[in-house]
Amino acid sequence: MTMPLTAEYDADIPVIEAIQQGDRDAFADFVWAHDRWVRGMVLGVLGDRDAVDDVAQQVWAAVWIRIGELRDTRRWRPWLYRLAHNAAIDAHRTRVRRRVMIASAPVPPPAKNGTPAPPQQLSDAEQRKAVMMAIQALPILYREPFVLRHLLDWSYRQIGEAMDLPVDTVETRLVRARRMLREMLDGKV
Amino acid sequence: MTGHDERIESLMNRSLDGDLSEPEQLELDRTLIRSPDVRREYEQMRRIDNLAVEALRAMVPEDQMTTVPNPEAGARRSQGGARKLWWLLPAAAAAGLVVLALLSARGPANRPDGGVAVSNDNAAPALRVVEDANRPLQPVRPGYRPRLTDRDLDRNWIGIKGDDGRIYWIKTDRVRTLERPRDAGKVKLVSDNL
Repeated sequence: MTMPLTAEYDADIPVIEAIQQGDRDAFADFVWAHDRWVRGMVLGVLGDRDAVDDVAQQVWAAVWIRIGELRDTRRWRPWLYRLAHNAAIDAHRTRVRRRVMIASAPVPPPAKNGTPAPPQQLSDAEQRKAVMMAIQALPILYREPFVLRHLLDWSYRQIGEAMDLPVDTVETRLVRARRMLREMLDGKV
Repeated sequence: MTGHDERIESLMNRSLDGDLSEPEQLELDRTLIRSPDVRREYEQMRRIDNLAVEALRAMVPEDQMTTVPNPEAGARRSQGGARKLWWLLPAAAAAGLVVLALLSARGPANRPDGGVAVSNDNAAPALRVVEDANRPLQPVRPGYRPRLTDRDLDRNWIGIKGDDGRIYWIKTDRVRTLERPRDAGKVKLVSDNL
């Protein structure tokens, strides 16, 4: 028989406690249950999936090593969010430095006979690509809640709980993210 | 943007997120009926939202998971630079396939629990003769049991008598999770009786 859950009950807390005692099976279960949102989180910061796998691995390794630092197990979501966010920000900075180095290299001039293509109706695949590029162009501040909302279907409350933000702030960021996307995609979608 | 526009923009956003109360939804619907511009904007927002969901879910598919790092190896890796372990999953899958191929090539084999699993040469490999179809549910992995969350993998054997008079059995696995409040410690599992 499955007992009804109380409002305060969080089924992940005993799993966290088991991990703190060194239970590897519990750790594997925890990864299984929450890997997707960690990956979503990382994607929210990085904007593309190039380094998502590597960063997610780093996050889970850090969870295992640093789980003892989590004193209040009820606050595991913001704690995990902070770990994932920081790892993703580090990876993002490294990539930005690399991009700056590439960008500073001399760029060959465009071909003389190149004429700009006329605007045309994009196919569905092209529209998805355009939307993805626009999401990548969003500031991290707005991209993170947008990705959590659209990838994981999280409510404002869930996003606020993970990011340690008031619900109003989450809503404001989503409004701005959508406004920016509309401006960037005007005429394309 | 005027205060009214901001209000409508907020309503449109929260409508897309399924976060509107009934009166708010009514207010938005009225505005959408009255204003073609707002309607066009709302449709564009909805289209972008749908495309964003498709694009993001294609990038992080549900069935794709991070390889669980070996904790100790993870500690070394985090100190000494990242090393990709992407090959582990396909390698494990390939090893599993090899083991399955070897097992199916062996023909009649002893079951781990002592019963005899005899493959019928003419039957699909998934069907095997069973001796006792009345076995109780077996917990396959009883090891991990957190204090308040119990996840059991139950294996059930179903025996079916074939036209040739032999009994065939089908294996079904089912995963279930029991969760209970902190102070309710008396939930019984099937595996508790074994």
